[in-house]
Amino acid sequence: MREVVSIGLRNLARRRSRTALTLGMIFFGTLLIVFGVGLGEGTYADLIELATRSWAGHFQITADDYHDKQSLFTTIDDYRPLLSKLAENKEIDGVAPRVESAGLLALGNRTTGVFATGVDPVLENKVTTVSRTLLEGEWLQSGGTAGELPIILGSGVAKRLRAKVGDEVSFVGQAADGSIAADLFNVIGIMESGMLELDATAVLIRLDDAQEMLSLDGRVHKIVGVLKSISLADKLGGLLKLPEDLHYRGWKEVMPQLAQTIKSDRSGLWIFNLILLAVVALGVTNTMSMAVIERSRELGVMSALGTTPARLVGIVLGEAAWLSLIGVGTGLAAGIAVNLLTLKWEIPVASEPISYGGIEIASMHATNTVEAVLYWPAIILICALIASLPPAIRTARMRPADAIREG
Amino acid sequence: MTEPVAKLIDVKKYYKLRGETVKALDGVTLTISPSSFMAVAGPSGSGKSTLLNLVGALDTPTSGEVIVNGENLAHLSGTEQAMMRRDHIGLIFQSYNLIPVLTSLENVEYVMLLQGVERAERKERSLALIKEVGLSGMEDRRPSELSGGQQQRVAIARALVSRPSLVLADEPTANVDSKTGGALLDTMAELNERHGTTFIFSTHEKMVMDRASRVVRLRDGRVEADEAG
Repeated sequence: MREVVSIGLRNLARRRSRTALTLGMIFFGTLLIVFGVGLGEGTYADLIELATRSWAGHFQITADDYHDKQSLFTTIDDYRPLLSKLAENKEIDGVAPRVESAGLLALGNRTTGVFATGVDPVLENKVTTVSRTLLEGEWLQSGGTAGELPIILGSGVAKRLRAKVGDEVSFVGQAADGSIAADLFNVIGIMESGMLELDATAVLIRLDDAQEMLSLDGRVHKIVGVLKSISLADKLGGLLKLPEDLHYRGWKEVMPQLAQTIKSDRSGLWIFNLILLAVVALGVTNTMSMAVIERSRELGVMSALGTTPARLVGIVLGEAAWLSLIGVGTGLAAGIAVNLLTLKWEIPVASEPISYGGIEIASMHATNTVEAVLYWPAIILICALIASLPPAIRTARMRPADAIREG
Repeated sequence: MTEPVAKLIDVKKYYKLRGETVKALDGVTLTISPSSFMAVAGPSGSGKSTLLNLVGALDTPTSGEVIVNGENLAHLSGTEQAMMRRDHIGLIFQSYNLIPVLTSLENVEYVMLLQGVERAERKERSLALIKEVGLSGMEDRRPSELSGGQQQRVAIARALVSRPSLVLADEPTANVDSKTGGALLDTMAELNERHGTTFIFSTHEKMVMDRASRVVRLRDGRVEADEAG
């Protein structure tokens, strides 16, 4: 084994310019893939974080078919013990309950359809960034004076009603006990989240007010939560052991369009990486083939002296292993360094910002994910070794006399 | 009766060259006894190197049988043939064929390394033989730093260090001056006498033939004469 390592390394030193060219190719191939995958994953992470933190959360828990039907009557009953249990979970960063109801909102003689969401002003603030999207006015406060029910309007709603902060609007809808849900609200803020659908229809009121107006005392429609690491979003549902009538949905189920967009984009990145891999593999095959042809006499002599075919394959592979390890190792180190640099100096998006549902990303950064720094470099390494197998096997199959004669 | 070191029975080796069949060996039968110091002589293209390649399991015959140390080479796999060469056959090539990235010492050690001989023993035996062929002090030199004669001495040391029962030397003195050639032959003759190692040389030099105990003359792939030296 030692001679395999030693001969491989010495042969690389013997043909310095060719070795440098091949190393350069493996180096830049690895660097590009580590950076490309890191940049893609970094951008996806930003996009997901932005989208989920804005409103939807990393996960949602609802009564079983609420997600599909959004019926006023499909509620999580006695939600407080569940909320406490979730808040105690080490993987969860925050949870907030919500009540939702469609209805009509009127100001003077103008009326528009809205989707009212009752939120806990304090908990919602820990879970989503919606309180930071106010164009004017202020965020909801817990408690308050009886008779002055605060409401925040989406910018589209405010525009249609020509409402401004300080106006009094009336909400009419259906309550869970079959009665008419109706109340007067004081506009305390106008928000613009950047998500067109939300801004066009959403109005936010306090959870307690919503429960009272809709006769949903002690019940909510959903619990929205965020995790310390979003990567757990798919798995957490299984770990929580929720009652059978409750349903857990990770962000991919809550926002399937975003998940699909990212999946499609990843496929494109895969194709680009596969092309790079093919270039690297062809380069290594070419180098190793040239090395074997140039040294067929020497390899023939080794065989003549008693080197077994398997050991000859080992010698050629040993050389390829050195090339690949040095090339991939340095390329990986450089890729990780570049990715870290982009955390400090973000890359501005050149033409148009990347957008999803009104959310825009103006700059990008690369992250050193497991895919970027482990999986792909390992694939390059394996491909480079596999690429050197054909010349190695060809060497082992040659008769020593032929190899010496041809060399 | 002593078992022959090598035996060739009606061995033929034909090549195709530009569509024509070249008969490198055409029905050669030979028995080579242990401790022989034998020369295979003949003009260029007579089949000397082909014969050595077949005995050394470096090539396969078109027909006939080649038996070395009691083993029919046709019945051995590539790996078994390699092990046969490693353990029983020493090879000296006309153009030395040292491994360029290894030093003199490492070249000599190489076969023992394949045999799994301990490092200390490898070094001790290699240094002793390097001294015997007159190359003390040149252990760390690579082939490119040695003259032709010096490279051939390293090649001889490499062929002998693993104590093979059979040494095949293809024109070993062809690329060295007559004085060096004579000295190399002296070394090999001494080893033949001392260890009983069988030597088969291919040559067309009178000096080598004069030193051989048996001379087999080939012409056009056939044995023309087989005489005591």
